[in-house]
Amino acid sequence: MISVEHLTKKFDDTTAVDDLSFEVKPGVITGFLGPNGSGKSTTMRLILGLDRPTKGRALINGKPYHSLGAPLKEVGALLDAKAVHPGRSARNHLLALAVSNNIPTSRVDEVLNFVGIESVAKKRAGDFSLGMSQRLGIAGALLGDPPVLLFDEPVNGLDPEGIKWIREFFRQLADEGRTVLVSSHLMSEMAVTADQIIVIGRGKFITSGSVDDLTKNAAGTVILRSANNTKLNQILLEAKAAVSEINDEGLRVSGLSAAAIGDLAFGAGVAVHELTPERASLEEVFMELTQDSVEYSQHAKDAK
Amino acid sequence: MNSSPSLMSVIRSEWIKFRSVRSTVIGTIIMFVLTIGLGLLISVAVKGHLQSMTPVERATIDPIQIAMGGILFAQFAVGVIGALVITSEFSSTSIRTTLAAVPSRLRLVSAKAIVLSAVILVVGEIASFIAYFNGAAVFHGTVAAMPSLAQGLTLRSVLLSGLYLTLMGLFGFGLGLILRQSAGAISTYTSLLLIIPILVFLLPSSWQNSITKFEPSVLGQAMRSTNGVVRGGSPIFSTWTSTAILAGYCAAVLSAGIILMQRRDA
Repeated sequence: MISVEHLTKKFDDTTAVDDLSFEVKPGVITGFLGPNGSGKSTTMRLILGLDRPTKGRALINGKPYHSLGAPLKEVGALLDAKAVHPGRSARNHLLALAVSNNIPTSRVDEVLNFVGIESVAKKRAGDFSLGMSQRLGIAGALLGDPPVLLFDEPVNGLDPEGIKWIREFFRQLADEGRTVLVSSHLMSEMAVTADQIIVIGRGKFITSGSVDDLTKNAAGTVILRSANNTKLNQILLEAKAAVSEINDEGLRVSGLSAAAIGDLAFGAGVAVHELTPERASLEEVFMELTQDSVEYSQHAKDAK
Repeated sequence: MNSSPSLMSVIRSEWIKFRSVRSTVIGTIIMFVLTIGLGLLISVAVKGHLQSMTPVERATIDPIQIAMGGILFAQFAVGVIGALVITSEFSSTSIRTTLAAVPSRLRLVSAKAIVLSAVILVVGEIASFIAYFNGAAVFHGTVAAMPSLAQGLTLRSVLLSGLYLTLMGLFGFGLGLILRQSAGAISTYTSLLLIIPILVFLLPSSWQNSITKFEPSVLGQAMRSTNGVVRGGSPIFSTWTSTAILAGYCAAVLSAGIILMQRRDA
């Protein structure tokens, strides 16, 4: 379990993390979602005690990171796959980590085998591809067989096979009852990977919930095709719905349910050919939620 | 309360790191080779000039100082090793992985300093003794015959040669902790050793006399001196005062480095 309480981190003139509070529970995969630069990595660094919070705190099973007896046995983290001395072999890198936390050295070969890089274990980590580095980073996170795991953008640099592997791996970790926090700026990735999602933007908490909850509450749209679109368009606008035309002569209506649209069309005597409710995708929900908090928004567009 | 991994575990971990990277291993070999090889070369060269020296020069010659001449070069190698032990962690960002495993920064810095000191002290002492015996062989039967190790001052001089290298390694380590980047730390270290003496040389001689004795390499020569004189004849502190001053420099940069390490984000 990870508890983040009023966590705040200010750098000289910017607030990277702003009064952030959330809990990450065991047994599920929790996605940590936000646009680039929204403070995901900083939050993870604060959880690991690498950066000092300006205010607030982060606890691992009720304890601050620096008071953990053997941190690698309690928390495994992959923040940056390239955070390895390039001149050291993968095996020696893991060996030094294991020894520092009194983890049996036999565990080094176990995790190397598990992530499938045992054949290059004696090669310099600096010569690794990003995908191999990710696997080495995952091996390091698993070294102490920890109940809490953090992964920052773990999918970056992985090939499709690796992505499939890592999703199954996260699922397995969660099924074993571990706490799994995975950050990403890609909704589509989180939609298939995570059970619970925490959304942040500009360092602030935006929302959290299951993937279903998040998409359910968002306003969906309805695709409408009819014998007389022009007439219906007029009626719908009068009913305060937002209407936009789509190609092949249909209308996309938001603000009214499919049933309400059907009733209006019936009342107006226009034959409806198609009436399809479209649920908002997580991607759309995310765009809507973070619209105001994207670090580099398109000011040029607004200026027009 | 058992908070954070024990110092012993972190020392063992840092030892694995020290010996599993090419730069620190090669640096240690270079230090060993320079101390011995250049000591021998300088001894042979000086021996060749013994005949052409003035009686005063010959009377003040300190054969052990000459045999240890390689240390003037080896001191650059130890400074680089010391700096790299910590700056390579920052340049590769592996410091984050390291601190995630060892959250106590004081314990991490202590373990690194202990491993670094132990390696340089052991290798430095071995090299110093070999350099001594080489010098003794070269000067055997000349007017500058090497005093035996049975003489307390001689043994002290050899032992302090290894200690000097160790302190200089720690000095480089301290600079690395403060500056966090290899190029900056190494160039600051070499500048302090090379450029300050040149700047001091441009000052009036009365100033030179009061400043020179504080320079690290002059402190090192004073530590090795068996007759209270160094080449060039500038005034120096006593052996133990010099040792204390150099240790003071190390303590100053290390303390500053540790304070910054505690405060800064990784």
